[in-house]
Amino acid sequence: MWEISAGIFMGWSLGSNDSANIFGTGVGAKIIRYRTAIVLISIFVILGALLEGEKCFATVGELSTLDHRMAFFTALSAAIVVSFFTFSGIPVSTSQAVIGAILGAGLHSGGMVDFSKKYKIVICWVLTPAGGALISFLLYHLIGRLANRFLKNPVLRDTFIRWGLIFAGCFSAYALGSNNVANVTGVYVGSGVLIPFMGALIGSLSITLGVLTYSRKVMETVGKKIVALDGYSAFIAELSAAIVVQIFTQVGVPVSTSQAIVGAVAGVGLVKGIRAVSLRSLIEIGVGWISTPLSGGAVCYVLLFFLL
Amino acid sequence: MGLFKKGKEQEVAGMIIDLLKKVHECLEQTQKTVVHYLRGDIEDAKYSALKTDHLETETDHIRRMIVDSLYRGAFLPIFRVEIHNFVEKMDLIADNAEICCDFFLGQRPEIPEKFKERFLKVIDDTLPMSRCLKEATEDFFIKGDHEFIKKRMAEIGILESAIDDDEWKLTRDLFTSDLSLAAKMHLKRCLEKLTSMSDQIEDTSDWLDVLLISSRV
Repeated sequence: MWEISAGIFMGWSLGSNDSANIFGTGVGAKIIRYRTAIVLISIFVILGALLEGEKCFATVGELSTLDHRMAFFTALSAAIVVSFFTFSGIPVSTSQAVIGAILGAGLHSGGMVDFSKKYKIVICWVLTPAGGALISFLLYHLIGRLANRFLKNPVLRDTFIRWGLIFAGCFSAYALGSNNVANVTGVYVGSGVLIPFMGALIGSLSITLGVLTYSRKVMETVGKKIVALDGYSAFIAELSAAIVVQIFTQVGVPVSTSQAIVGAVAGVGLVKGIRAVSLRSLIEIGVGWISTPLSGGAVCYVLLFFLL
Repeated sequence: MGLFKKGKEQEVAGMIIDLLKKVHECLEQTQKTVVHYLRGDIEDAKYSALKTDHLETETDHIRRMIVDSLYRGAFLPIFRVEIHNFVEKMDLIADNAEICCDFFLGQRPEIPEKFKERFLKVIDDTLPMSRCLKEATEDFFIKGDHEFIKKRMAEIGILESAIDDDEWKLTRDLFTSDLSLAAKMHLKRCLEKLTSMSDQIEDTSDWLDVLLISSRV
């Protein structure tokens, strides 16, 4: 069972970073207390992982046939890449790091990689920010019209947005658990170290560990960065990102929650004109599609080359 | 421990309405001060001015409580800043009222009999503006009937234009009168103190318009 320690490290890293995507805005704007936010995230991550986490295990497991030790090195490589990028202040997708590491492991073992599955995953990666942008663009108009018609009182409107942000945050946490738990323990389920239920449980608990122990700094930083976004836009962006991630859970592909939220924010920006969209964020996503899986693959290949 | 800081918005809305009531009372006391002064009842004028001063202190206290609640999480960030600005503008109306009373009692301007009614008219016409602002703000925070609020704001604009017009004519008449230049300048300053309240009400009403726009998605 020592092999799963790398997965727990990966889960901790994922939880400490991605929780900022969920309630960063709410905590930054003092809509919700930090402690309440992390408790809600933990509950809904576990729920999402236990109820729907198994859907993405299959995709991760199908990519490559790994034995116990290779599963450990794969998870460790992905965790190293994620931690390195995070400490360097570069946005990183855990999904892309894990998939890259699996491919690196597969290449090291020689011909065990099923590249046909990779195309489906890459298409989903591209569709994540694009889908986030499209859904947020549509929801902004639709919910906005209803709000303008029925919520003229600023106190009522504020309450609606506050509850909306809480709802979207809980939904995001659920989507994170259901979609990203495969990044944490998918390789162990694929290699037979863990049964899917235990994979979902251990994976979600390790994400929760990261959320509860090391998320404050990132959450407050992200909160202050996004605070310029008005409450309604933040709510729409959060909700749209959660919908996109949840859609890909049903497809069975782990995707990046960070890229979903960046895409959704861009969609809100499009409502206000193309100039409101951060070109830098979009370039970072594009670079991430190539650099993150390549780094994951390279680190895993090198580790396996020297240590196995 | 609740999920939210419950009812902070309602609390702030209530305090803003209280603040406006106090501001209106402040203007009413200022009007009394001017009336007493013009009649030559200096003691009564002093009493009304003291009441204005106390009311202004109360508005400062309410303003501080509103700002405190706002930055403890009431309302969402961008809207919070706009409400803060709106409240500061409202408080300035009371500040101007206090300054006006201080001017009358501290500098004792000598207003010729033929101009007294016209000076008094300026402050008389300011009160309906304050009433309109109060009604519009109450509606904004309670019902949110945008049409009603717009109508009230339009009334404020019309009343302010009328005061501006009176101010221009009174200034002209002062400067074409036989008064000494010193007296003319002093009375002009006195008139400016009186019109500063209506100017500030219009400015506050403009901020209410900003709130109205930003409350739409």
